[in-house]
Amino acid sequence: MKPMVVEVEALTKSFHKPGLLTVQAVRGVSFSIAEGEILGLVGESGSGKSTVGRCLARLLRPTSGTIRLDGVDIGQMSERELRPRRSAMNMVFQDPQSSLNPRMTVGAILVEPLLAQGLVKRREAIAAAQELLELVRMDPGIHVRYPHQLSGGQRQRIALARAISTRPRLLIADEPTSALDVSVRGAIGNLILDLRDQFSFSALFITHDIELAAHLCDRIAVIYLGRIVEIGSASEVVDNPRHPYTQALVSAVPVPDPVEQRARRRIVLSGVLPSPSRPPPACPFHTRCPIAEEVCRTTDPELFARRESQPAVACHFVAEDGTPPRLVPAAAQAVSDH
Amino acid sequence: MTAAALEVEGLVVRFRGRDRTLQVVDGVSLAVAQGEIVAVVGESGCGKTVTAMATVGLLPAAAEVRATAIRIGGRDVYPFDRATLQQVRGKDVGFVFQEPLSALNPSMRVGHQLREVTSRHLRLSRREEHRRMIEYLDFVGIPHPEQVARMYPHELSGGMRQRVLIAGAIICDPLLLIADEPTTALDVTIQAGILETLHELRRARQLSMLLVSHDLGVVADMADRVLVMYAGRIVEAASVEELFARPAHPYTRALLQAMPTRKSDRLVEIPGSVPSFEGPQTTCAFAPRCPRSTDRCTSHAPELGAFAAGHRVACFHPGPAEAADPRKARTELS
Repeated sequence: MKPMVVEVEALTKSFHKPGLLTVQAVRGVSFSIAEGEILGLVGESGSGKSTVGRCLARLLRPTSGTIRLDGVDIGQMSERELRPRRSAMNMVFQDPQSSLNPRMTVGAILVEPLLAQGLVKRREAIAAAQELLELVRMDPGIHVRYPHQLSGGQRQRIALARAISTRPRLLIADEPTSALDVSVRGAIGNLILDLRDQFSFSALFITHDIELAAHLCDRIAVIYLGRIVEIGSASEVVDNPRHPYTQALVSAVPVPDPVEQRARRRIVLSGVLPSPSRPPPACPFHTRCPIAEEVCRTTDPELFARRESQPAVACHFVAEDGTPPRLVPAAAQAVSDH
Repeated sequence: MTAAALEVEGLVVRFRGRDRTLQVVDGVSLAVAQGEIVAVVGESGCGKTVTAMATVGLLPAAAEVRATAIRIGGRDVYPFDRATLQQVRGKDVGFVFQEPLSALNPSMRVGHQLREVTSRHLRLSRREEHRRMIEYLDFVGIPHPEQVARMYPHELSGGMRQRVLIAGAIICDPLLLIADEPTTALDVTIQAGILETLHELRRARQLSMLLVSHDLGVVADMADRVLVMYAGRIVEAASVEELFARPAHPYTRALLQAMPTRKSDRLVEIPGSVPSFEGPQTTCAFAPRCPRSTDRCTSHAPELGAFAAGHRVACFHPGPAEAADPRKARTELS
């Protein structure tokens, strides 16, 4: 078995603002990522998925819980302690326009982390930048250009090249393809897979697109209101979703095939995402779940796998052999998202 | 036969810049029949939104719009004059845009904003206006419409705002709804509900729609007919079943393959980027990225011509993958 690069236990992150309610963005999340593995963290807006990513990159300090990177807990480390470890975990953001400094050349952007960590000397900088550009299949001559002279896809390649420049153990990618057109999205997705094969870093791939996650990730964790509701192998989670929320999520993504799509039944959820400053007690999904009963309002469902090799699911109604609960078909549901 | 809800012939849109002019829509003709949902798909910059906006004169002054004809419900609206446009917008044509928060006035209650539409176009008493507003809010799936009418946009969720916008767009019973990426800013579980509502609108009211989208899943769900745009031109037009089953243009095929499916290991990439043009196109705009490109493609611009019954394509070498060898492909079209 491959060693675990990342082990997260009972991670919580709350945001306090004086005079306002405390926002509980992440509420007790645990998972691990093996060496060379890509874990997809899938959720909708307000689910806390980006906050998890920012805690892992230690752009945020968790409220509680541990984050072990290669066995060392970085969760509560000070800036000074973190500094030598920063190069082991790098992040790629959704919008390469705002994550690249418009006043620096591509070359300067690429080698900045290497220079800061003292990994290359100044006179080797250009060669290092060119090498990185080749890694992400770009023309090495591009290092003299500025970000605004590049397309969105090219900018995201630069962001990726920078993120892998220090040979990190963990890459955190937060919606790296969401701002891109379909034709470019494929290229960036494939590039992440190729770089992973070449450098065998572990990755947390944060996305709202469960189909894309199914394609790129080895395992998927579905997050709802700061809690993981289902986690397991990507194919199991997407092809045979067990948690009612995962079932709704998978059914809601329209398939690009008119015949198949029109034959499908959509599970339309009622209600809105409750406020993360006042999450419902017990099961976080019970306010919108079509099959919720009294037990869901009173008892917190435990996240566990019914059978070995099955995904872990936090739902009272998953049978002992792992059979998922059947949801009411869409036709019987009120069309409403209020 | 009743007139089409929308007919556009020979639409050209140019943007005049300081250094150069860009021709972003290059001779687009399209029609939306009554009760029909026509989707315009393409990637950013292909001209799909500009086309939709141009049909009712919603582009900024920097845009130079020319057309042979634009008819809404059989009535000529081009060349535009202010009086006609004011009557057409909101009354004959309703709009739903991508970002509901910026399309609603943040300082006006929802009810007030909807009444603004009805009082401009319909002669109703105050009480009738109110009743109509509640009826339409209810129709688009808003629970407690009386209460919501008294709220401000910021008090509503994204999905609710989009429903309010749809209610405002249809409150005068328009012939045509122009929906530009109506669900793109929303989460998929919320999108599912909005798509159901749009389906219901067509079922119950025979509403025609021009749906602008980049999402082939949404298009597969909603559309009767699909127009694929690339670099300001329609490159393929067919019924939704035909287009997805037998895409004839290499660009359409690549676009369909680029969607992640669990059947393939790697995602399909389309190398290169979209060119821009200063005037009418004289070559095939997709040629630099096309695996089938020949000399003909780089010296002539293909016209949109018949490929099969009800299926048109603008390509010198169209057809399924087997015909990939240009020598075997049909070279003469149109």
